[in-house]
Amino acid sequence: MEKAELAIIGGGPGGISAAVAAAESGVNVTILDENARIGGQIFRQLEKGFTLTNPKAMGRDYQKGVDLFRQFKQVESRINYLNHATVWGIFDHHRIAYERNRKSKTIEYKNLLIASGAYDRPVPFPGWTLPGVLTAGGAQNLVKNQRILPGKKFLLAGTGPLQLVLAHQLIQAGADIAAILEVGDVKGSWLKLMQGMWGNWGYAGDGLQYLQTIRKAGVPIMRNHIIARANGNQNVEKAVIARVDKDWRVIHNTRKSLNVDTVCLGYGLVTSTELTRLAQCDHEYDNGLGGYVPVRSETMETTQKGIFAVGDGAGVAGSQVALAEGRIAGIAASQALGHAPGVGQKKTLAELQKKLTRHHRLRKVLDEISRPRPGLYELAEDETIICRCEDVTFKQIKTLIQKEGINAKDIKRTTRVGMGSCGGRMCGPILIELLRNLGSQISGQPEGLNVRPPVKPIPLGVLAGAENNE
Amino acid sequence: MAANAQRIKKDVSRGDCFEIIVNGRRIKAYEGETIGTAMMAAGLYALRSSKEKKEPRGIFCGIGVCQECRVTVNGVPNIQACKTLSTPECCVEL
Repeated sequence: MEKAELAIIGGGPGGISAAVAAAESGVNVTILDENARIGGQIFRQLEKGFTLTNPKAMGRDYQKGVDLFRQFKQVESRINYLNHATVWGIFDHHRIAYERNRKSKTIEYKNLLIASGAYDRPVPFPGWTLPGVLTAGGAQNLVKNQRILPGKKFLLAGTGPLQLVLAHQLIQAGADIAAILEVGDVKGSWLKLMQGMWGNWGYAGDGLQYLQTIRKAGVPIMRNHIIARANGNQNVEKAVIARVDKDWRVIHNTRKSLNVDTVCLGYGLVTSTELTRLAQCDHEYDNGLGGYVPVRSETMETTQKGIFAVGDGAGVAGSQVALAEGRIAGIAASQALGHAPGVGQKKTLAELQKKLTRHHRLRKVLDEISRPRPGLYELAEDETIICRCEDVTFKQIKTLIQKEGINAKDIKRTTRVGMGSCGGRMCGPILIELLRNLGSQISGQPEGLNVRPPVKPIPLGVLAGAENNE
Repeated sequence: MAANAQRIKKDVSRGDCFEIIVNGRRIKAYEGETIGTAMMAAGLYALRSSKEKKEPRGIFCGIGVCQECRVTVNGVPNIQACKTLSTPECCVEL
């Protein structure tokens, strides 16, 4: 069996900055990353075959990524980086099971750091399963990294300034955008908000540039608007949009139809907590942080001793927070493992904590606009699919939800919601919000779906071969 | 159906061009493109039929989470088209 002092799951900003900090103190680190190369979603590197002819085209995030890759390079020899590694289980006695190259392997760790990231919030509405409806993150990946425009005529629907980033990228790539819908009640100007946000990150100019691009392209930004329906036969052909009230509920007689072939949904991100839940860390629900988040100490340690969680998977707050949290946890883990702190690491820790406080203050402002309101989960109609894998409809779930004392696990058993290939990553967060909205009989916060290994789809043959090599 | 999707030519150059086979039809792909990207560029958006209702599904999350883009590649089922790179002459079945 392989061994690691510190095992890190996830190769995004959180995981990599933790790895760098720990390796600097001499810790033996193993990174398990599902991707081909380090970077995660935000700092994803272009695939071999693509060559940038204009490095500026990738934007400022890419440059931040390059800085991180440089730091990684300096300590790379002390890090065991395993790409294409899918963790499917965390077990007793400090063991992780993962699949790589169609083989299942086990690794034994002393400390564990989970940096599993986040993904776009799934929001069900009639037609959301039609090809041509994409998440904003998916569209961004296609445009930025695969260099393909997924359609001709776009509608962007969601909330928050990240929609404007995507719009900018799409317009730069030659896309025609019918409209950008901001469901939130944005008072004051976007510019002010964005200056607050980007100013804090040290790139105020970018926000202005995005808005100028959007204005120059003549794309309307429609506040208090939502996508209520996507229509089409095999693909999206039309989108029905509507005005909403402050609770994001559709206002009667405000619907209208737009001809579009691609819809990008950007309602913020939800945390990937399968692994921290599997490790039996305590979680709490925070609507503004992307749903359930692991409870953590100041050093990013979860309620399970020696298990740390950082980055968007532990609370959606963006790459800068992930970098700082990763570094804090990397230093803390090194100390827990008995390694002397690296040069200047004590001083860094205080600075990093201060940086986090600043970011959290700012996040609160944006949360106020983008935190999901009840109307967001009232768009589904009887035949709307809630569970994409098992084709479970809203009608099947609706009647159960109103029963006294019902929870997500009961609904799963009865309807198969959450039993499919995605492991409840799509329907799980929806189910929690539906229970909060409709489950009048529930006191307190509804529990999510339970998780058990394998948390990612692993071929049976691979599972059957697991452990045989031990 | 004519493809709505278009490869972006600006700011980037592409490597080798080759063909992949989708349900017997030959389509173009470039080195570094996922199967999902190559199919999108050829106007093929529907990657599978849903379990009960047999409705078309395509790339949704685009980052390997939702499992909507599962196809069979060289006989191996449940391969994510959004994450798996095209290789010359690889055989995709929907």
